[in-house]
Amino acid sequence: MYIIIVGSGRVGSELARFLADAGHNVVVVDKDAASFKNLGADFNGVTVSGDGFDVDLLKEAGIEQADAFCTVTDNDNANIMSGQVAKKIFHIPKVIARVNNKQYTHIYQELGIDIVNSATVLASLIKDKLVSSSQRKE
Amino acid sequence: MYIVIVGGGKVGFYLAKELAESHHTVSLVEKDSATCGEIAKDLNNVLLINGDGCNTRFLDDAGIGRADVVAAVTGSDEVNLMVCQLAKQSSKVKRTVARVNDPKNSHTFNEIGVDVAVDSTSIIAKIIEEEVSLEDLVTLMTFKRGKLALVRVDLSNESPCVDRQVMDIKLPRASVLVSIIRGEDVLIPRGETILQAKDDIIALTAIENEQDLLDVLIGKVPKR
Repeated sequence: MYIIIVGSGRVGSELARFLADAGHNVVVVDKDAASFKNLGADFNGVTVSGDGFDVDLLKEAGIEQADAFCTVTDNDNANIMSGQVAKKIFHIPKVIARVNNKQYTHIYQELGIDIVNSATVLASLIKDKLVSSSQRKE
Repeated sequence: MYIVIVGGGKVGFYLAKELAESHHTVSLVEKDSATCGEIAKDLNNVLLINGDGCNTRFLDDAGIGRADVVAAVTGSDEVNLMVCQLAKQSSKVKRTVARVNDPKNSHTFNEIGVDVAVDSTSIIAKIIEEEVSLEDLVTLMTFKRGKLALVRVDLSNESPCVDRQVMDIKLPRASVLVSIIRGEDVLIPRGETILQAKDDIIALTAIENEQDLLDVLIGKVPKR
C-alpha cells in the first residue's frame, strides 16, 4: 500500500517504521523537519516537511496515488483538517485520524473519518492487562 | 443579529467593536486571558468569554445555540475550520464565516463546507498591489469569489468618453456604471449624464470584461 502519515512525533514515527518494515510505501509529512530524526537512520520511506493539510504539499507527497492516509499529530484541529482534505478533496478510501480530545470523537465520525483515541486505547489496554493478570492469580 | 466571534486578535477585536456599534449582539471567545483583559478594557458592550473556541463548552457559554452567524477569525486556519464545523454540526448555526490565513487553504475551506471563507492575506496583498501599481483601474471589491468586481476608473483629459453622454458610450457586456464621483459630489449616472475629465467612475463589471471596460473608458491598453 501507498500510505501517507502526517505527524512524525512518537506515534507517527513508530507507525511509519512499522509500516515501512512491513513493506509498504510510506511518506511522512511533518511541519518540523527536525522531527524526522525520530524515524531513525534506517527508515527507507520518504519525508516531506510542511503542513499536513497543504493541498500542494500533499500532491507532492503523492496523495493522488495513496491508498491510505493517517493523521496522527498531537493537534486535533490539524488532524481534523488534514483528515478532511484527504477524504473530501482527494477521496482517499482509508482515512484514519488520531484524536486526543474525546469531545471531537463525534465530529470525526460525522465526517466519515476513522478515529483512534490514544488515551482510550491506552487506558483499555492497561485495563485488559490488569484484568488478565488478576485472573491469572485467581 | 446574534454573532459569535472566535479569536480576539486585531481582526476579532475590531470586528466585535464594529458589529457591537452597529447594534448587533456580539460575543467574543478568546483563549488567552491576558488578551481578554486588554479587550475587556475597551469593549464593554460585548460578552467576552475566556476559553478555547474549539471547545463546545466555551462556545455554549458564548451563546452559540442562538447565534445567527459565527465568525472564526483566529490566526490559525485549522482552528478556524474546526470552529465553523463545530458551529455547523453541533449547534446548527446557519452561517459560518472563516478567516483564511494561508491562501493555499482557501480552496480547502470552500470545499469542506465553511459558508464564507475570507482570504485575508490575498485581500491585503491585492489591495497593496493595486496601490503600488498606480494603474488607471482600481478594483475596489470583488464578489462571487472574484467573478464580479466593483472598479474605479479615473478619467483623464484624453479619455474618449469626456464630454460624451453616458447613453452614447458602448460598454462591454456585463458592465454597468454605478456612480460618478465629481469633486465632492456623487452622481448617479443617467443616459443624459455627460462625463467630464477628472471624473472618477465607479463601475460593476465581470472580471473578464475589465480590460474591455478600461479600453472604452480610457481609450488605451495599459501596459501590464
